[in-house]
Amino acid sequence: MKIWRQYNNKGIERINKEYYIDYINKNTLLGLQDETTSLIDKLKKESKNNMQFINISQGQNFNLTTNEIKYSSNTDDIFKQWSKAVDAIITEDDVDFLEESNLERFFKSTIERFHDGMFGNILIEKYYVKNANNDLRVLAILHAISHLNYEDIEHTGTLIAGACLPNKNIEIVEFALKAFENWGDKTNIEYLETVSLSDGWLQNYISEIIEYLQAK
Amino acid sequence: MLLARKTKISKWVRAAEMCQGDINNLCADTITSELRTSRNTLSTWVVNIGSDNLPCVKEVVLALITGSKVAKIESFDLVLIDTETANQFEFDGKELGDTGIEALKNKHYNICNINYKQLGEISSLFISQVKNEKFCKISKKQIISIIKEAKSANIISLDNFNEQVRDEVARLIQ
Repeated sequence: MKIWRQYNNKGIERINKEYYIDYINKNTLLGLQDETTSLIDKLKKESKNNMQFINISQGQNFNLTTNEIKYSSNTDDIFKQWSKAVDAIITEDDVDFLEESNLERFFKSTIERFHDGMFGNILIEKYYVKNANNDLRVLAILHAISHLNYEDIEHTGTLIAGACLPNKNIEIVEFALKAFENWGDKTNIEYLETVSLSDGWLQNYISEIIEYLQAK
Repeated sequence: MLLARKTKISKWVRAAEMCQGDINNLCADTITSELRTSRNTLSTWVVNIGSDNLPCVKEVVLALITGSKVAKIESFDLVLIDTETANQFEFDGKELGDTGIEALKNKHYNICNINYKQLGEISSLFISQVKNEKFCKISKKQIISIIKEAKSANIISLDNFNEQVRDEVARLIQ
């Protein structure tokens, strides 16, 4: 299975249609299990014939081919193990305003464990997609990611919270809005302005969030 | 006396829709997550009535955001309870509240001696309050404004907050 996606995170600037490859192969995953390693360095070494990486911070571009992007069965194993841990945490976890959840701590450690949080973001996003019809899990994810630094979860977080806004369960909508509010990023104003909700108090809440973001 | 309890309004709105007026159909998750008792009590805070005769939840907000478990300054919901109409319950102000502001500790009241029957009655009360819009959604914008006002009035300082959120509060009010 090949995976690739647009990415914009610490130290990597998106310029036009540049893509940062989420490259996960067996060796990388084994390395990640031990201690944090530089995914980019591994990617450079292991794909030297197929990809050219140039330091983006120097304003240069990079080219790549996706042929060698591997998604090994080990990746699936890691995801399965990680998912089981998340399942267990959510079952026992409390989701309460103002308070830290165990899932939030687990997500933080997952993101810290992998270079630039990239693989951690992939795990969280994949877990959300697999559990998008499970309200309990979605609420737990939203509460947890809303407490993460926006720069650590920007791409994945925005996608998940944005996908949750049209949800028919207003609990999920409320928590998705809370995520945008907590991240406090002005770039989300335009998107929030497109959201229209039938519950007056939630619509008022969006207005409060937009005003808060505009004042930043 | 008017009291406020932190809860999730969306949870009660949804519960009301699902049980369609019959409290016996109220889903258990709502009760177990929003009415989690401790020693058969539920924690509430006294709501002041302003000079305009309207409820003022500023002190409740300050009391809650300076609680020892607070790890993030974020929006939250309050449901309001009028003790005169909810007179079937027992209220007790002996237990000091979990807040970093000494002067607000005694603004805490417990609904106490809650039993199986009363848990159902409290659920009915909350659904009714939400239906009648007797609740407040406290946004982050409002929280920041309340903190700034309290800081200017020397009611609050960073020391009143849980250590985990002091940096965040400092950033928010700068």
